[in-house]
Amino acid sequence: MNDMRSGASAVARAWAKRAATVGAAFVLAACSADAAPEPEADFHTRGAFVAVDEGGPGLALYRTLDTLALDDQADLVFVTLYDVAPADWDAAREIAKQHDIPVDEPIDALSEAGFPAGPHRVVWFRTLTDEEKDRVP
Amino acid sequence: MTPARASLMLIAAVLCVAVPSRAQQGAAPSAAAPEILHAPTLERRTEQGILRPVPLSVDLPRDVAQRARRVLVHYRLWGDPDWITLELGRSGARFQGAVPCREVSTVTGDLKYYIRVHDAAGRVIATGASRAVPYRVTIKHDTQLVRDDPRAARVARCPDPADCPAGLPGCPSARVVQIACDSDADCEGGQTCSWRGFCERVERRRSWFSVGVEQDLGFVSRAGACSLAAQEEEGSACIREDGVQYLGNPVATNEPIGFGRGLTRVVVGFDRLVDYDLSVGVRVGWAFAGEGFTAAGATELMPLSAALRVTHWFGDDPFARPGFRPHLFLTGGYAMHDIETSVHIREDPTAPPVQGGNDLEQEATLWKRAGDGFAGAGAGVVYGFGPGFAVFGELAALGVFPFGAVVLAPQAGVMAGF
Repeated sequence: MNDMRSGASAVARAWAKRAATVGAAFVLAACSADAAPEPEADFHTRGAFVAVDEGGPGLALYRTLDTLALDDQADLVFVTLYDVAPADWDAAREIAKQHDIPVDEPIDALSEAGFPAGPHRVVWFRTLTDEEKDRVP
Repeated sequence: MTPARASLMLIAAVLCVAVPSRAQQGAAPSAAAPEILHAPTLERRTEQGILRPVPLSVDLPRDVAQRARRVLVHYRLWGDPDWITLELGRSGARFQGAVPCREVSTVTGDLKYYIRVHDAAGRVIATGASRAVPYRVTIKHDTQLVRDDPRAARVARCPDPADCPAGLPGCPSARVVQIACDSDADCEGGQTCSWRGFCERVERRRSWFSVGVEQDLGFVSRAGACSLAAQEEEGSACIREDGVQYLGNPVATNEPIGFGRGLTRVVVGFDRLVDYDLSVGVRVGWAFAGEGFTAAGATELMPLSAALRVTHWFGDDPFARPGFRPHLFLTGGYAMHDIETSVHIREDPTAPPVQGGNDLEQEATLWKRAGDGFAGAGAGVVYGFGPGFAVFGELAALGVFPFGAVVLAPQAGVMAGF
């Protein structure tokens, strides 16, 4: 009798394990089925905030406004330079989230060969407003 | 008039029909008023001694007799506030019986009675006299009867009931506890026809008006709710922190179901009991607070709502007495639902921008205008303070379509019955 009981419980455990596996598969599938990859901005992306370590006391914070492809030389990148000097990447990201960052140079054209001039990270992104777009000649 | 003669006249009272029969009129039996059975004027009032049964006999016209199922005699003894009902036994077209001797007892005074003839459905198809103008039998003491008529000088005494049980042929009539009926018109004395088909006297109100306040709460899907397609075609609107409607390129992310506050409505209702534990009703509501964002060109909120409902009431005849009346209901109808919640948006930096100022990630207010149809179920409880006043609280869960949402609708208010 005990053998029968232990056999029955083993079968039950096996079925429970299978059911749990199938259930987990469904749950995971449901969680991931409608998830899309999250595209990231790079420093070419219009609206990207790029923090650059240019060797100064803090990081420089740029905003990519546009790029201009030139046939026979390096592309031009139009940027806004902000009048801030975040201490690290996280600080740069927090500053970039703000909508009223003090501006140092509203528009500057940099050669892609020289930008970014040092280690850099895209710390944030925000679509450009009409006013920001209008800075580009 | 001698006592003996009085009894004989009652026994021999042949009631004649004063109006044409329904068959002759060609009208449906249920649509016509009961026929009035007439007795000769002298037979409407008679005398009898104490401690004697009052024999009763009714000869019905043939067409009435054919449809008659029961002939009930309603009588009231002198000084007794209640009317008592007896059923006469049938013998062909004649129905006869007697007010029991022990009921007559030694109480002198007028015994009033009238006759109602019921068909198989309980409808009253003929009457003889009425509660307002009854026949009368004056019960007198033997000494007075002897003085009036020496032939009445016999001493009557009630027989032992065991010798002649009520309801047997030749014995006193059986008392009727429940009088069958088809409508309230078949009942009298403040009684109404119950759904079980018997006359009853209860304080139950069958029609109820209600007014309450409803606060909607809703569950909405937030995945993809801020895409242009969802905002243009599915009733959602995403509002940025600066108050501008979001019109960017969101990345499809796994957002959990959102929960938020909906409209606040005042709801007026009417319910009609159609059985002891079942009612049908309507609700009309007006949303007066909580209206959401309406984008340019989008459908304006229609604050008016309307619904039908069927309610099952728990308990044994719960509307017959004060107290708690728990219930379940099914409902469905028309309503717009504005639901406010928050939503997380991640902007796609690689997509061509269509709106400036959209951060890579932002929290926005999500308004969902769901509707216009809904169906659902709910539960609640009513507390009746009396026959015609009650307070209620209930909670409904509604599935809203085609612009989907799940709405919880708690409501509280008052009810008045009549």
